Amino acid sequence: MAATVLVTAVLVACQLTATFLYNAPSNVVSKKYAAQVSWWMTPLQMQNWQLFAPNPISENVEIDARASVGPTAELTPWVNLSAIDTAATNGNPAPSHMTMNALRNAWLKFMQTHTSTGIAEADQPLAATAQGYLQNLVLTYLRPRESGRIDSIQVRFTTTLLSGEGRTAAQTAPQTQTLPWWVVSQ
Amino acid sequence: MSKIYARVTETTVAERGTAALRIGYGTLWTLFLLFEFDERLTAWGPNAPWTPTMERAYEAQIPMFGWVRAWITSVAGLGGGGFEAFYALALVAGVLFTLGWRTRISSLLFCFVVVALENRSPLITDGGDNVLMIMSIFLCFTRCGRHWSLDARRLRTRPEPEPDELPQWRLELAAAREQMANVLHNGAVLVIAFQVCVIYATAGLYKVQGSMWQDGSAMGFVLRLHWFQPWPGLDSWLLGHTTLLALAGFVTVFVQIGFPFAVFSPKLKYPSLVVLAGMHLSIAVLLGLPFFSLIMLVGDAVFLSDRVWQAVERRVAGPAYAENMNAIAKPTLVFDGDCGFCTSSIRLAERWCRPAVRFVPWQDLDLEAHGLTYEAVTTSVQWLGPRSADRGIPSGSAAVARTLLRSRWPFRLAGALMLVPPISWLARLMYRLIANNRYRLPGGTPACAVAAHSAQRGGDLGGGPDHPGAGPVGVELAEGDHAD
Repeated sequence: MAATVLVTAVLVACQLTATFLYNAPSNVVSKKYAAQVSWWMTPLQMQNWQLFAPNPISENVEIDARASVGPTAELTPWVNLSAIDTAATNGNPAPSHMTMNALRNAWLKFMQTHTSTGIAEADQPLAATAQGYLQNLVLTYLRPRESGRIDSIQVRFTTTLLSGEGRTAAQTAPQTQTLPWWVVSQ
Repeated sequence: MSKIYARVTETTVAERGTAALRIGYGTLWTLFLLFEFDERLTAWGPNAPWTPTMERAYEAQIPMFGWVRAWITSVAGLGGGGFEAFYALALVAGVLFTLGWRTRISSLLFCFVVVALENRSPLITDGGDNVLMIMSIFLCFTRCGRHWSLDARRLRTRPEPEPDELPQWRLELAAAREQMANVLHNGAVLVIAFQVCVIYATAGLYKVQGSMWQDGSAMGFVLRLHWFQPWPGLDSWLLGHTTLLALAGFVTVFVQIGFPFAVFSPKLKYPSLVVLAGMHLSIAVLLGLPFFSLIMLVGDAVFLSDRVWQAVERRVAGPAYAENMNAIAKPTLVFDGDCGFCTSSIRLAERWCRPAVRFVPWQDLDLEAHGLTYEAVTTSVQWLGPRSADRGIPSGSAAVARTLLRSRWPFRLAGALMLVPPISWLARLMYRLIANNRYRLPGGTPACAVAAHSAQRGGDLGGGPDHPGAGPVGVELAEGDHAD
């Protein structure tokens, strides 16, 4: 029984140390043992508690998409995907994960792996995955609204910095970033 | 040293706290799956935007053991029928875990389905899913099924085998198993508590580094984000109160950073938990993240001591608890036997609420022996139950509320509400109003009221055949009967 107590104590000590080093702001100790800590924590205990921190996001992003449809390559008007989510969220005490998190995380992942013009960063192995995911997600919004065959889609982000102290009118004006057309494989 | 050794092997900490975590997480998981039911195919199914190929490419970036990889990509490999079966299994696992059915097995099953499903679409999950996943792993090592579970009920009803019927080696094995389970449980509870502290401390430490949290403008930005805006009207109303928002931000950051220290002092712990609960509930409503917030809130339950949980247990248990307590104390409601309205009200209560309470007219009692006065018993009903000496005898609406607490559902809930301000103030007012006018209310004359209670004394009032000792109540109500 003493052995059980000892083994449990050692495991608990490792767990506490690893959890602390994994979450604490980067420091000399966590840098030195980064490999060991990562081995212990990933993938089952991956976590990130920088919730609205150090500073909360202070910009609103509107995501629009349009499609080229059918044999005549007819262009649909821009569809405001964010407005669709907002409509589903409004007055809903328990919005679904797809409504609350899908577009935001797809946008974040895309921005992390691509340049501002929508070109994949060379050192990001997940760039293609991030783009493919955004494309599939956008299609789940467009397909129910479009009867024809969608051949290609285009996405744009309109970012508006929220007004606040020290922010000029020029800074808080909406900035639009239009991505290249993506061909939809059928 | 041997003291510590005995403590970790022979006793368990937070048995009820971990049971609360089990019930909380199990319930939230089940509800979550039901809420997501219509969108399950788009969110986690084989045709989700996050395709199985993407899932595998994503996981391939992270080095891990083969069995872990197989586990977290298991849902990605399922076809349509397989996925539906898995979703059903996930629901069943949630229910079994909540109920505490064979908790050793159902906790493993719960952990398996939670980790597998949450990893199917990592880009639609949030911090709440993250906590749920981690906690489902930790809970496998705890004895979270020892209370409020089907396991507990099974063990209670099963007769214990005589020790000399079993061979010696089996007794030793059982003892060793018990000790090992205790050691693992205690370790896991420490890990869970530490994890919760780390969440709050890091969330707070990162916030103090941000200029917006420092100057108090952070909440003003968060409430304007379209990503999290289920109630825009409420948000714009709150945005008009900048001082309030700044204060809320400061309090949040202070309490989050202080939490790992506050848990060591009950004087700081409970107020901190109240502030954090307020924070979670605000996030649930204002940002439209109920599952995220409630999952965080449930984690705090591990810090409530077993003493607090036992008090909750007593409150909820009602009659069953009162019946268990029969040998020690039998709560008694003292009423005015000369009042027809009182007598008929009590008859109605016995018929509909069926409280596990004795009703005794004050005329049958030695008032002084029970700390009662003539003034008290003629103005309102009095409650003689387990109580500490320094507190007065509950009377009027407080006594009625306690009677309802020991009644069947849903009266029990009404009783609980009647003890909580501001409803308790309203109840007191109502009681006074009724009590002052009782002679005008229907219910028979004083004369028939007296006849009624003397005729019933051996029956209803003294309790049924379940309480053979109850007998003629007025006589045997000794002081020890209602002292705690």
